[in-house]
Amino acid sequence: MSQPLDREALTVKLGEVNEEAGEFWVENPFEILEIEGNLSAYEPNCVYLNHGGNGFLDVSFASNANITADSRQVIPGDFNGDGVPDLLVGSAGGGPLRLFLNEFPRNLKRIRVDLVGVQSNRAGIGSRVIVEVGGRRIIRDVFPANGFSGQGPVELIIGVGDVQRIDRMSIRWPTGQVQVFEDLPVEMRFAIREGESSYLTQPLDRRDDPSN
Amino acid sequence: MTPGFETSKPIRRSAASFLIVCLVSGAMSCEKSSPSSANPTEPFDESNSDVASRPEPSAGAAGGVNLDMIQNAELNLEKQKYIWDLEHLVFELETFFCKPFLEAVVEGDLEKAESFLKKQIVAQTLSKTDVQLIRYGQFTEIRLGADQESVIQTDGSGLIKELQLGLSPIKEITKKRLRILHIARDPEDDSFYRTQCLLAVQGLDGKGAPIEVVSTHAIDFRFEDDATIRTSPIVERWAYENESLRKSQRALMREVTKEVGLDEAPLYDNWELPAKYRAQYRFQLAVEDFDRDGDLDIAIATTEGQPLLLESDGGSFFINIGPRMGFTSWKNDWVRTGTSLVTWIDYDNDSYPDLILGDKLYHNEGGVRFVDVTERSGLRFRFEPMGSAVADYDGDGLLDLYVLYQVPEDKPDISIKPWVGGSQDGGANELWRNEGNGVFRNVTDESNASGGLGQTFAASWLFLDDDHFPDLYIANDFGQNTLLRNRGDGRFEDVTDETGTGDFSTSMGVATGDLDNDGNPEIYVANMYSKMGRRIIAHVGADDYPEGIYEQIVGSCAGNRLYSRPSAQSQFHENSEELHVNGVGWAYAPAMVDLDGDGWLDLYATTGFMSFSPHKPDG
Repeated sequence: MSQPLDREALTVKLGEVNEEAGEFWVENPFEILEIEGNLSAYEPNCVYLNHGGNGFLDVSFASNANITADSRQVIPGDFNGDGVPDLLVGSAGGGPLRLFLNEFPRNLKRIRVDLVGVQSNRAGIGSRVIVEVGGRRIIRDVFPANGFSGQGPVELIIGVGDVQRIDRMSIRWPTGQVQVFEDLPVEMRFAIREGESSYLTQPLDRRDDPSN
Repeated sequence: MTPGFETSKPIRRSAASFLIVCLVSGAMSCEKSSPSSANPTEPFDESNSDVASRPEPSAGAAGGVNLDMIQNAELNLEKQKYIWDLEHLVFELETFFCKPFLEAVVEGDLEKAESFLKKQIVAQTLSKTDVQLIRYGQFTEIRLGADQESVIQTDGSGLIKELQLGLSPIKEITKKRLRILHIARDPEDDSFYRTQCLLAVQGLDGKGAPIEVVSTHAIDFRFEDDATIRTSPIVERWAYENESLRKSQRALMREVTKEVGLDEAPLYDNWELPAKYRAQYRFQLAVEDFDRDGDLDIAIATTEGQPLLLESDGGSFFINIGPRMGFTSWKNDWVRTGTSLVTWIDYDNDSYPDLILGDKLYHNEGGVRFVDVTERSGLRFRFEPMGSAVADYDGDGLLDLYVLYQVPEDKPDISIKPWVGGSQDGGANELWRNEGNGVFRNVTDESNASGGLGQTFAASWLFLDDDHFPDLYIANDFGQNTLLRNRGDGRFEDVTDETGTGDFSTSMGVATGDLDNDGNPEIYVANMYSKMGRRIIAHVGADDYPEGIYEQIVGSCAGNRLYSRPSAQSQFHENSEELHVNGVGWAYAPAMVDLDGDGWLDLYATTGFMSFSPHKPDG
């Protein structure tokens, strides 16, 4: 039986191998684990910066988060309450849980939107939020991320760039109902209850909140 | 069963770009190839030795594939031998040329560096007239291209000086590599080889800021045999293709693992375990602010049956309160459940997220305690759920649960499987509808939501259209992925083919989100990228295989894929390579997150399969 038909079939060598050059041969790929051979080993995680919608820049080298730990999960979330997303990385080796705080400059602005569903589910999962700033739209859908073996929080932090006000924000709830808010401040956290025109605010960065 | 796993659970295989090796050459050195799954193991517990024996190979074992097609899929022997020989040379060249040559260049040992170059070498460097400068935030990239009108001809000494000049902004080198991306033997000249090589050097500049130089080069070699590579000048031609200098004013992230106590989390680490206990994946995790104190907490389910809840104290410290919460370990029930599922789902809309941990559903009582409500809920999990995805699929205001399965039965799957053919021998995923009053009902069949039997590893909800009913992309370890459109009437329809999102490959993760803010979300799929595989497929084509096989081989090493579309009516197109986000590696979870706050979602991509020894080579 050939390997295409059976992942565990054995295959003979077609030539010599030079161990001095790090080369080796096993008759079935899974045998590599037994001889403790590296398999896609020490590969660095990657960070690709969205270049304003014009492609991506590979900034892995500058990220400090390009770890080589056989990583499996990544969960973005604001773990230290400063209003910007950090990264929790889960790995099979090289440190199972590692937390990387966001150290990007704070010159660009953000808001956080906490949705409170009434007719819809309480967490607002399945909502679409559209923010309009400086003539452009920023569109975010609220689903807890599930990249692999991990679930992210229901946490909607929206970067809005170099602006001082939000022109317009619309929320389409999972029921289909749409609410619109206009002229909102930035660097704020909004608690918006489905169907209510008023909302609660507090500073985006929890350290700036006098009640803390 | 192999000796190394005798004390482990039965092995189940998963994705592998080793498909390349199997089909193309059936041979060659394997360290850059990619078989997969070790198994979830029970470290240090010798009692778990219920190793199942494998059945004899049979035609039926291949599942719903076309066996005739597969049996005829092996490449002809002459081509196999050619590829074997080339891959052997890659090892020889990378070990006895690339590594010492680059070392000599950065160390300034001109004599040694020149000893690899033939005296009559024809070298070509970049004139720096084809320049693109990108500034974005604190990040700068200078891209030099090869403008053929004005490249600079030079000799060996000039080439080495140019290489040194290119690397001179890096004052402290932390990583460096010169690797072969492509290789071919001249059909008219057996001793002449053309290659394309990647040079990448990282470090810090004079101000201590991160910096990287990446370039590709066309390098032609002439040598008679392996011994010549080690003893004689072998480089006959060298032409720069491009060069990028990347700088950042500062590091973008800061690791605080130790400061916050996460290094003390009671989790097994492959690198701290004897080799035979290492496993492909060790736990699942789910993050949420369970007690509504403003801090994100971390729930973890390990494959050993250990439930953890790491409560955050203002993000400054995490402490495991799992034991205090009285979660039930599934350690002693491992064979039946094998699960490591963990999911937050506020099923009763009381604002406090409830928790699925192992095979139990716990009601969150105001963030103070958890009560086991599994029996009443009706939720039942099969062997080893790979994860779950939460959404309100029918818009009734109650959160529903989609559970992912790799295998079909309540026991490990040890049947023989092929590498090709579009596996449909995995487990059916399950959609559990929230009926209210804390009760869930399995509606998989009536909603047509199983997504096939493709050995699912991940799934992500997204909006394919404007109907506010969430649709679902399902990433499968083998075979095609699946895109299900939610019709809004309680049923899903498979729109994989008509949307062009099947992505035949070995998918292990997925993230969705609107990368270009046009209202049509993108799908970023984690697959395998293999330099070795890509070198090999450069020598084969569709004509070398029965119809459909070559596409599958390409997909097994192409890397991550990104699907975009300009409107809800159009097909998706795949543009990961064009956007340079495909070459991640043996990739797992990706994420979309706006790290810099510019309003554009960025990408983070995890990768790496099994690292055993930092001193051994790898691809």
